[in-house]
Parts: sequence; structure tokens; C-alpha cells
Amino acid sequence: MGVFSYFKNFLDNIKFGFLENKKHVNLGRVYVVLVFFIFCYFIISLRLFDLTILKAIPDEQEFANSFVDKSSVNFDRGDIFDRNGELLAVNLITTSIYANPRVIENPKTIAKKLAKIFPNLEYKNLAEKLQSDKAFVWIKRNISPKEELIVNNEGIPGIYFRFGKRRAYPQGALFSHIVGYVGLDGDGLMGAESYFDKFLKSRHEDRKLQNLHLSLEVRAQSIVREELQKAVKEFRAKGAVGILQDITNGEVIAMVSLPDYDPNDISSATEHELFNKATLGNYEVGSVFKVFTMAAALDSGIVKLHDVYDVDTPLKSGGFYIKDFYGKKGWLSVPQILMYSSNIGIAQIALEIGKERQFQAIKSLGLLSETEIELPERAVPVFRDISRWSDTTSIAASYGYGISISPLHVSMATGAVANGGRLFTPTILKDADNEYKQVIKKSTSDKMRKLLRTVVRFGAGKAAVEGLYVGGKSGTANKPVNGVYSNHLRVSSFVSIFPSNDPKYVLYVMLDEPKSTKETFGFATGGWVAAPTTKNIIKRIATLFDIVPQIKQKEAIENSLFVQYNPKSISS
Amino acid sequence: MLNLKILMLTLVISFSLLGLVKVKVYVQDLREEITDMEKSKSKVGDEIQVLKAEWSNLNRPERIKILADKYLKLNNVNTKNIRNLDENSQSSNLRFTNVKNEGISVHVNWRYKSREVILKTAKDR
Repeated sequence: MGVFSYFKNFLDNIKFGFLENKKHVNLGRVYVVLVFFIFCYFIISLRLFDLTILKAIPDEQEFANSFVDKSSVNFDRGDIFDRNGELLAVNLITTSIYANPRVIENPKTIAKKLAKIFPNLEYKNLAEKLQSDKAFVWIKRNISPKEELIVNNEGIPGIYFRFGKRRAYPQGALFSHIVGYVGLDGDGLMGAESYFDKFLKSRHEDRKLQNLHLSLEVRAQSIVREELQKAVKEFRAKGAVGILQDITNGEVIAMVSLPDYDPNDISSATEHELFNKATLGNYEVGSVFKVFTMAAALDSGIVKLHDVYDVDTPLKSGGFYIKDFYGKKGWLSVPQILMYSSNIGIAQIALEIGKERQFQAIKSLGLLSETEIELPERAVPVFRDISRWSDTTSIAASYGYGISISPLHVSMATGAVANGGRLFTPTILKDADNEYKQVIKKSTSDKMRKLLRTVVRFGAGKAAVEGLYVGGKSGTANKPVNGVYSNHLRVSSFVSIFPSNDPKYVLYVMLDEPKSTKETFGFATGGWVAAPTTKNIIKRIATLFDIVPQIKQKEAIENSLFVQYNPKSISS
Repeated sequence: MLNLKILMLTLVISFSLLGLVKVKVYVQDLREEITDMEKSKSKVGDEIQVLKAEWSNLNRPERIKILADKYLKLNNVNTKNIRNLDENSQSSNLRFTNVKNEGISVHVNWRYKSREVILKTAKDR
């Protein structure tokens, strides 16, 4: 009552001028109105107090989120770089349009309008979408700025924009199989994007921690791809693979599988293009495998560099005749067996060391298990278990038949053979502290380097580059078609190391189903089609990696790599 | 006197409320400004990303090569174009990895292996 009487008192003291002459006015009513207004002011003051004092600082999180499009959170992936910091994958802002069918009044006309703006959208589909009773339907995602402008100018009610992000690959097809691609919803679906999906999506204060630095190199990759494309064109091959690996740490510097695809336009890629031959493809590699058989034989100590084998006549085993492609009569030394790629010779070497030893050596070179490359696309080698090996299996394996491996297996194992016997896990990550396993003796590896150099110096000269002392071995394998080896479909390849005196890199070039040309005199073997490509690649790449041709010490270096290979010239 | 006091009090309260509201509005404006700045910062950040991507796209080795072929008419860098200055000095590091220099004149004892023996050993194993 106190308050009321106070106000009564207060009002009594105010002279209501306009009421002065109207004694009959009921002051009670005035009070009611007055109290009502005072109450209103009180409420307003309370609200003012609340807004200005209590809620002066808005929720920080809410504030921060107020301008982030939540739908594009998935696209806050880290960027992917090559070893020198060139961008390989990045997020870009894009516009998508959506509709709220509930507020759309004439869906058919709007559908017609939209179908006109976006010719690849069907009117029927659009009309159906716009007539649904949902509150949200996508019309088109990732539209171009021009389309955005047109839609904006049309000003259609119920059609809205949503700004999001999408993944872009500035290098186009160059790294397609390594980097991979992401789906519409921002999940990595292939390659590094898929393997490192969690890492790329992880959130850090410092966005840089989300970025991925690969061991690959843009220029090397481009050179390998360009030279392979030339070879594919020249020899009308179905596809090709090129792998350049640093053999001192297992880092992959370039890895190309042709045909490839543009990850910016996944919808137009074919299955064949999406297939990564380099890591997922399984092939019988043919004579390239002799490198591994030879390494196993020398490592066992049973076979020495200056052993000589009888290759005069074909070798009979299990009803098959083992023949040589370039038949040499008489006797061949160990270096000659590799130089002339004698199946008869390597078969005897395999028989001599025994299948157990042969199998174990192949296994310890990592050729019988998946590689541990950081890509989801990895081939599982196909081979017969040792319990089911016959002499024929052993002979076939000695020159690369009966065991299917990926091209990456070949470069990995050749690296181990050439770099002192250290088998590094192949990696696509830069500066990954890679560990190695000692799989063959260093002395064996030294001999193998000499042998590989001898092959190129006195045999497969098409891969030679002056001053770089390339060593290597070719391989040609007939492809099985419906269980029978085809006579005209083959996988031709060349594996090389350079420089042989101090090997830094291994390069494996493989052509899938190359056809011979007039220039190759009807041959489509590894030595004819893959060796020249190897040479072209090495010639251009060496300068990128500071591998300087050593011309002045040519004699000293060649002598250091020389092995006596011709028994006839000495003994006769 | 009571009237005057009350009037003064009302005035003081009203003015301070008014001042408070003014400050509040001012702060609100500042906050909006910050929001706008944050927005444009993130927008500029995105634009920088676009530019980076474009730069990287324009610098594709493939494209540079086409441009170089068109305007420079130079050949690819070849191993023949590169020489090591150290090569001329005596202290040059050959980087041999412990390879014994056999030379060409070294006499070799060739070990001839009979095919029959090899096949027999394999059979007996």
C-alpha cells in the first residue's frame, strides 16, 4: 500500500492543469493509466539492464560460427604439396543453389526457368524436386560465377545460394593416381586423399599442421609423364607406368600410370583411367626378374661372377622347352646371362641354388607381400606357395613368370639390390624417417651394380646416357589371355639405376601392350621400347636432381664398374 | 523539495540509462565492424587460395614447356649442358662406393658348370 499512497501523494501535489476545471474527472482512472505506464517503463529498464549489463558479451563460439557455412566443414581439408611446396590439392570457394519447395508457389514455371539456365538439368526432374514437400532440395552444386549471376538476376523466390568449398587440383591429371580425389561430400575416395583422409580433415589451431607434404616432385613427374605419353603414342601401347624412386631412402619422386584422368572432372573418367597400374596393377614382369634371381644366387655364394653355363641347347623341364629369345650358342658367363637375357642360363642358376633359397630371397626382397606405400590402391602379389613349387615353377620364376607383382615392387626391390642391400619401404611422404631391412649382403649389391652397368654398357645400350653410368635390365613378358600366353600382347619394361658408381635413383618404365614399329624392326621388347624412354627420362631428370655427368673420370669409373664377361676372349 | 529531488533523480537515472544505451549501441557497432572484418578476412583468405591455385595451374610444367617452345625456342636441358667444376680439381670426389678396381687386364679363372651336374643336383634335392 505504501507505494500506492506515495504515488497518490505525488500526484496530489502535481497540478493537473488540464484537469483543474474538470472536478468531475475520476482521478482513479488516471492512476490506473499512470501505473500501467510506470510498469511498462520498469519492464523496459529491466530489459535494458539485461541487454547492456548481463549480456554485454555475446557467446564467443556463437559469434565465431555466425559466418561459417556449416555444410562446408568437410571441405576444410588440408592442402597437399609436392616436395618443393608446389600446390597439388587445394580448397576453393564455390556456390551451390538450393530450393525450399514449401515457399515456392508455381514450381512448374520455376522449373522451366531453371532448366533454361542449366541445360544439363532436366525439367521433369526439377519440377518433381520443386513439388516435393521438403524444405530443402539441392538444385545444382558448384555452379559457375556466370550461372550464379543469371540466377541472382532472375530473383526467383524460394531459390537460395549456399556458399561452400570444393577441392581443386591445379596440376590437373599430372598427379591423378597419387593425390586421388574427393567425393561431393568432401571424403577422400582415392589416392592420398583417401589414405590421409583423417589427417587432412583433422582440425588444428594452425591450419598448416593439416597440410600434407609429398615426396613427389612436379617437374620430375611431368617429365616422366611426358616421355611416357610419347612412348605410348609411338608404340600404340594400352598404357604405361613410370616410377622414379630415391633408393637412399625409399621416397617416390615420380609415379605415373597412363592413361590417367583429370581429378577436377571425375565424372568423365573411365574405369581404365582410374586404375593405378603402378601400385595396383599386377604383372608378370619377365626378364627384369632375372635381377632378383641373380642377386639371390650371388648372395647365396653358390654362384660366382665368373661362373660359365651351358646354353647351347634349350633346357627341358616338365615337358616344356626353355628357349632364349636371342639364342646364343655355347657357353655364357654370369654377366653374359644378364646381358643377353638368357632364360636357359638363369634357369640353371635357379636350379643350382634350389627353390627354397630362391623363394626366400624373393620373399625377403618384399616381392611376395603388399608394398607399404601410403595409398589405398595396393596390389597383393599373386604366386604359388613354396610347398607347391616344382622345378618348372622355379625355372619360370627365375625369369619372371608365375609371379605377378606391381611395378612398384620392381622399383623397390631393384633399389635394395643396388643400394647395398637395404630394402626401404616405398613412401610418398617427404622426409619420412624411413627404416630399412638389410636383405642382401653389401658385397652382393656391389656385384649387382657392376652387372647392371655391364648390361647397359655392352648390351642394352639404348638406355645409356653419357656421364651418368646407367645400369639396368630389360624385360618382356607375354601376357596371359584366357590362360594361354599371348604371342603378341606383352608387357615390356626396363628397370634402371643411375649413376651406377653411386646409385641415387631407380627408374622403372613399363609399357603395357606396346606394338612394334618400323624403327624398332618389328620388335616391341623392353630393350626396344622401354629403354629409349628410360634414357630420355634420365637425360632430362638428372639435371633436376644435381646429378652431374662425370665425363673426366669416365675411364676410372667404368673400370671400377667393369667385370670380365667374355670367357672366350680370355680362355682362347 | 521532495518533487525537485525526485525530478533530479529521475533525470539522472534517465540520462545514465541513455548513456548506457549509447555505449551499448557503440559497442554493438564495433562488434559488427569486427564481424565484417572477420568476414572479409576469410573472404580474402579464400581469394588468396584461388590465386594460389591459379598460379600453380599457370605454372604447370606442361604449360611452361608449351610456352617455352613457343617463345624461347630452346632445347631441353641435357646432361651435356652440365659440367661439374670440381671435376677439374684434383680433390674431386669420385664417390666410389668401395668398389675394387678390377681393370680390364686382370686375369680371371672361369668356372665352367656342367648342365648335367646342375640338373642332377636339382633332382636329388
